Amino acid sequence: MNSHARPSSSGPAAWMARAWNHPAHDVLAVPIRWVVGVTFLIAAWPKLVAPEDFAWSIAMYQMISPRYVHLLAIILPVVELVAAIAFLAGFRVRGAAVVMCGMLVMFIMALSWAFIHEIEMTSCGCFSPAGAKALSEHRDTVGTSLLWRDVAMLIGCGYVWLFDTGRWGLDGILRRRKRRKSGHG
Amino acid sequence: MSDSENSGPGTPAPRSGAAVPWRELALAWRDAGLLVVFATVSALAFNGLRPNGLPLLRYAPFDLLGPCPEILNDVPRITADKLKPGDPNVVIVDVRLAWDFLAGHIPGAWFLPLYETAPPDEAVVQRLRALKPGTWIVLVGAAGTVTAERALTALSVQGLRGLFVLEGGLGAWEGHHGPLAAVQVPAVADPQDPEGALWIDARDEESFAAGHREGAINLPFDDLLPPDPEVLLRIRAAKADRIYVYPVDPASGADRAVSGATPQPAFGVACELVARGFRGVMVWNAPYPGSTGPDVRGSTPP
Repeated sequence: MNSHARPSSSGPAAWMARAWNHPAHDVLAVPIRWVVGVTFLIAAWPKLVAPEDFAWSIAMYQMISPRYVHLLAIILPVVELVAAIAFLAGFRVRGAAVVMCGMLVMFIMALSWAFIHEIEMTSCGCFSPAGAKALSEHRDTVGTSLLWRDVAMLIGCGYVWLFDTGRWGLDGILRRRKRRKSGHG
Repeated sequence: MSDSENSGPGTPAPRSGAAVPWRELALAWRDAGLLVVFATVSALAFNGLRPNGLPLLRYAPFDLLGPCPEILNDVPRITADKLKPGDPNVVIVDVRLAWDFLAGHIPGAWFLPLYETAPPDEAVVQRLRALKPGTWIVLVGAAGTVTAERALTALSVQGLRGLFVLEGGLGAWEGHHGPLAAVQVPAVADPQDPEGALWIDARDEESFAAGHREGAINLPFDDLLPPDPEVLLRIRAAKADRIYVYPVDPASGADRAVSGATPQPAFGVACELVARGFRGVMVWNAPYPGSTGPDVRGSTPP
């Protein structure tokens, strides 16, 4: 079990150290990781199955050169999948959180771009990669709620990056095993 | 050995007395890089191994609403004089909407309408994909080539190669190779054996729900979206030798089965069906529910 160090000194620095290192952060981070991880897992799957449809979705944003749309459509779903699995398993959670933050910042920028340029689209392509098909099938308008959803997940991932040591996950198991082997268990 | 000395990649240090774990936060960036590299390599390998993997870079643009001006010169074009009618190594694909297609098309041309807000028909794309390698796929639109260029970019997205846009469109073909083929959708005022025929209601869903002919199938007319594939399957499964599409407003050009302009709903739907290979399609040249009687669900109009 992790030791919860108690700085001997008092004052703002000690208070901050106690607050930052409080074990409750590890517990709070678990549901955040699960919600974000499952969300990304659900989002990644259809894009992996139909990358050509996801390519259409990316193209609809008109943000990057059409020449590189395929490349992004191939790589991004796997990055989502790997980060989601890492989040759910608690493996390299802080690294995965950084990746998640990066993707979410990218999604927020893309949605903002679509708003600013008034790009006509009725699906963000977040979960249904069939961007153009979604026009007829879903008609879920690209609203600010999507933006807030991504911002909320970004805050959650930021929290994981800052405060989650990965105690409740594979990181914690590996760390405890390592400590036992080195005689500290 | 301290906790921080114990920790390695993937094993972050347990909580310490330090106010901010700068080292762990920085290591997260290294782990993030490793995750992204791993994911990228996996993605490229997965794409390379899967049978329908995408080319990494595209030679033509993605485009939904119009061609990007900066790549217009990259669109492969072909002139009508380089094409021979009936050439087995060339497939002509007409990308206009059904009523324009029936009004006049190149004999033997495939029908692949490109709607404003939908990708090309997957079934036709599969047929194109199954063509022997080296076959030229020549896309034909109206006189302008914008629709054909959109179709070219949309099909190239699907991984098709050998795509060309016919320079000058349909008019250029007609000038070089003679008259076009046209199909007239018959309009009948007095359907024969109405009980044994299949009836298609071309009105919107609300009107259909309010009242329709008994046993009719609703296929709402839409010039922006393709017909619902499931409804088309139902119509095909019915295997009817006569299909009547209704209603028609006689006051607005009812005598024209095919028009260059957007047709009446019944004619539009009938054209869609004929262009997609349905046989025995006719327009019932009468309004619904007729001059007598209320509009009652399931009622049979006069």
